[in-house]
Amino acid sequence: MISMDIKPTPTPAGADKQRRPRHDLRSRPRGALRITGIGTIVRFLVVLFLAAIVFLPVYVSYVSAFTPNGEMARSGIVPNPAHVTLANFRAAATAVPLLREYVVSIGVVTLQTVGQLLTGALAAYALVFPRWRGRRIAFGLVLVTLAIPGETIVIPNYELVGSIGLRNTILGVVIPYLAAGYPIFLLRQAFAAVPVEIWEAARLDGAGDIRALFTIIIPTCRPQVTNAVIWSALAAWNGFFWPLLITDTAAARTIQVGISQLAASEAGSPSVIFAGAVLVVVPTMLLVIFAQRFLINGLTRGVLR
Amino acid sequence: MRTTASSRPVVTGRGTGVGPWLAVPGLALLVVFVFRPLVRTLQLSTYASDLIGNPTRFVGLDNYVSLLTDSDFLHTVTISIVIALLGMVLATVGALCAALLLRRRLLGGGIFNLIFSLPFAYSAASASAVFAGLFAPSVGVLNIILGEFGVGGPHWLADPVTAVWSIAIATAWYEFGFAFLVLTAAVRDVPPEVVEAAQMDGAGGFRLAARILVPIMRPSILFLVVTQTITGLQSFAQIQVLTRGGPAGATTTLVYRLYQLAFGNGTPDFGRASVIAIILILIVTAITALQFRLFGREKTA
Amino acid sequence: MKNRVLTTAIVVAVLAGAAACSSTTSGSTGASAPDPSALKNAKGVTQITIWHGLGAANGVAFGKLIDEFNAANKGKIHVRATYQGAYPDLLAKYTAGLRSNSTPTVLLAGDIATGFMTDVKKSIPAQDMAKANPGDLKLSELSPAGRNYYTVDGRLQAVPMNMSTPVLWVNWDLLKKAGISEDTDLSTLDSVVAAAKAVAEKTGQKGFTMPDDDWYVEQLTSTAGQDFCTPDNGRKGTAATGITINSGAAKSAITKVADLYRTGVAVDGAPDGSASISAFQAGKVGLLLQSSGLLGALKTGTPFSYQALPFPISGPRSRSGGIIGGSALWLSSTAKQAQQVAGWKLETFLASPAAQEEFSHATGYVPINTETDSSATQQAYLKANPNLRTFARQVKNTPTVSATAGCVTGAMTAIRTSNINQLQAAFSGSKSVGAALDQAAADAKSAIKTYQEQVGQ
Repeated sequence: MISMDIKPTPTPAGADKQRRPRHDLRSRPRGALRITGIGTIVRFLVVLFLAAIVFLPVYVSYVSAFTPNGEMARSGIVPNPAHVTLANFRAAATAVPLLREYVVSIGVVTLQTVGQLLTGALAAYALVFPRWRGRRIAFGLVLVTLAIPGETIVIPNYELVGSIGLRNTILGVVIPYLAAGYPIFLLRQAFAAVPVEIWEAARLDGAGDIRALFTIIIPTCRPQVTNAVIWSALAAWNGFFWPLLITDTAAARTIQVGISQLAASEAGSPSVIFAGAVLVVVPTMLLVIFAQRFLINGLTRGVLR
Repeated sequence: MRTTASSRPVVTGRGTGVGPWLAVPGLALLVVFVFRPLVRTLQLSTYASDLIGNPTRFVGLDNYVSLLTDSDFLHTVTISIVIALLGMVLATVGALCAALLLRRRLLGGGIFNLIFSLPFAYSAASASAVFAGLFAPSVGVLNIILGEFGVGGPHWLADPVTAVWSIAIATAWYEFGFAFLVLTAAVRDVPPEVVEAAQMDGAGGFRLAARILVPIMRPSILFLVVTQTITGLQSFAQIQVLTRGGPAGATTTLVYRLYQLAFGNGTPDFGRASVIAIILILIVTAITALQFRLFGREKTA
Repeated sequence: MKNRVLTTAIVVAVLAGAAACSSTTSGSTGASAPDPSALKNAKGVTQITIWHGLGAANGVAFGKLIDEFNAANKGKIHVRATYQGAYPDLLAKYTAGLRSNSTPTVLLAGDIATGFMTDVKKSIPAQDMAKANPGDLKLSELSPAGRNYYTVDGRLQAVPMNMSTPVLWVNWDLLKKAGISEDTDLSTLDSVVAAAKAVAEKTGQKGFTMPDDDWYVEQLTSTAGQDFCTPDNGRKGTAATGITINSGAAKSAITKVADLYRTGVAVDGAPDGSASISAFQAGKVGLLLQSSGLLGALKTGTPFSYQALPFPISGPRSRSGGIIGGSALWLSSTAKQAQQVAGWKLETFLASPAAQEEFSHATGYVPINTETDSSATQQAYLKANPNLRTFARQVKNTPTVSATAGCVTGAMTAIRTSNINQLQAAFSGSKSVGAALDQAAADAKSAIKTYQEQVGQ
């Protein structure tokens, strides 16, 4: 698996075996809560303290990115608004070709996600609907790949991709990841939940396997397919070890490799590093801000219910 | 790879049944880029290599022996586990507290929810870059802030002991976002009837959390314990960006040692690097097997 | 069924494995150096590449030089420079390039890579290029210390690009408080040790610090007049087999420094040197061994009178001195001949007095071209920056013997790592100095053996 930013979902067990309707805990009638006063204040203070710790790196990196190096040493934690500048972003983009690498990353995400979804949907379909010998073994192989840390198999892939001339190309970055065990697994579980009658009806209407997959099965499983897309895209965007090894120039270097090089090159100017980090997390930050509810409801549970 | 299509006709539907063949692209890619490398890694681990890493001759278990008898190797294994466990515990416990405390309505709850989810937006590399700026000597922001409180901050990445903590802190922060999302989902899945029944019995606050909520959330917590430990064992970006395995080898984990041996020292030694890969696979397989035992076989059902 | 799948998988694996094996590149080790006609006969613009590991201000200054070269050779040669991260990453990229025959025309490699670069035999020795291209770079103009360092088996292998040199940084305010005046001789290790003890005794501050880095152990060895590696620092045709720090003058020099730590006179400098720098800048330590490259950091915010002095010597002056650091330009032996000549033109330009002067002023590195000194602007610059003059003078005055050339072996990275571990044990007192140095020597021996096995494959 690629750098595992998102992991397979927990298996439901015990109390929550069947899918439950969403409870809005905030609107439920509240019982005897006489101790609200002090309890809530303490709770608020503890949350505030925790939040301050978790938020600190984000706060510091955004504030420093928009102010001159050493601003926090001079003005304290709250910067002087008069000092706001974009110079750090210019310096970051000069030190390392971040913009070029951004474009490369977008290409890598697109190719890898399309590849994984396509191979994943086809394989998942074959593993669920048609009956054939060896189906269980094939699925077993897919499950085995989930347990193999990606870092442990880079050396042979590094040899292979180099020997077929794909070193330092975008194709070389994505080729080992055009199929991945997790999206196959995810879609296989989703397809398995589709009533087989739906598929049989489509087949009786004369639909071939491909048509049945794309016009009937996939639309039925839209939420899970979305999950698979997000998982694949995030894994592709966040990948680091492999792109670091297989690329030599900005022509194929992803933004994650770029940010690590920026940290090495600008070790004496944290503000420039922060500016680079701010740029790198723009897409994922938007995802968290605008799709937080979806991440909670979809990505981290529900798929297997 | 060849997948044998059934000789029997497809049970339902018409047509010739190309269905089984649709598995071929995905499975073939997995064979070439996952299973072939596994076999090749095993093979490489028994070969000596030349100056640029190409295998030259079979040396049996020499690579295993030389690596396992190396005085630094035990430290490499220990420090990998220490960093993985520290990161996992900090992230899971912190996220559990945050998720439980936000279960009921709270002033600014939406904003807190967002803040606790933010680390999820960071990749290991970008989170590490942020911490590189925070931990930097003399210009590092963390020590400047500590200085405002009159505390002289340590040389985070320069001292062998604090460097391990620094890596663990960066790892925990980066893992926190995912843990919070998972545990928030788990908290919200707790049936309100259960909570209300407990409250009728007079359980409140801490007791409610410890006796009722945490046991119900057990599957999610166990899941995080396992996956975050495995993620921590695979730590690479944090170490590459923050310490490069230093100071004096203090933060050289298994994956980083693999990188140094195979790619980072000028003279690639694919033989010994492959030995590390095999050891890492064994450790992760053991943890995964444990996960299957803990969760039963529902996953494959 | 299960067996068949497995068999298929193994067959595929073995085939792919065989493909990977057979793609091993066979090197053209005996490539002869091309002469200027190769470039003259080339049509159009000759495209070449250079990889480097220079970040921040150094990277900017380097990029400027590349732009100047491209502008001057418009229509003939175009250079594309790529930053490959820190030096270890740069070297990793280079070995990866060797595997797939995609190395750059010119590699700017760190000093420590010299052993590996020579053993791997994928570069044309600078000596041969200079001979075939008499109109370009004159090797005699290069600093003798630089030539000494990059000469292996009697031939100059690479053209030095920049040099740093280890020096003694002094906080005069603190030393004066301890009763040591500015005209006190601090040129020997014994005098430095005595001064450090005086500072600790009389001021309550610490007397001495340096980074916990093997580089300084190598300097203490060469300034004791001793080869770091046997035999002859690996430079005279026979590869190095071991290190000597657990014997002779080197052992006694290292022990003197270790005793400063063990008796509380010295303060721990941390492996990356950060603690040594911050202690010095905060005025909490009197004497600091550090690279000349520290100058830039000290220029801002050092609230006391400080000065760089030559690195203290403990051996006979005629064969003792510091070892240079820095990096050098390696020309690919597998590039096309026109590219090789173009690459040599680039090296000629980068090593020229004007380019060296410009780079030195921007970065604080010591120029590697001796002709740089004859420029009036350089003279004026040195006058205004006495510390830079000290660096240049130290490099110039170093005797060119095998001890000051430093050890050349591809195992140097591994040796440095194991030495630091032992060094820290000796400084902290958890091990006796003798036992730590013996262990370091034993580790180095096995590291060299591992490396030589790879060379012999």
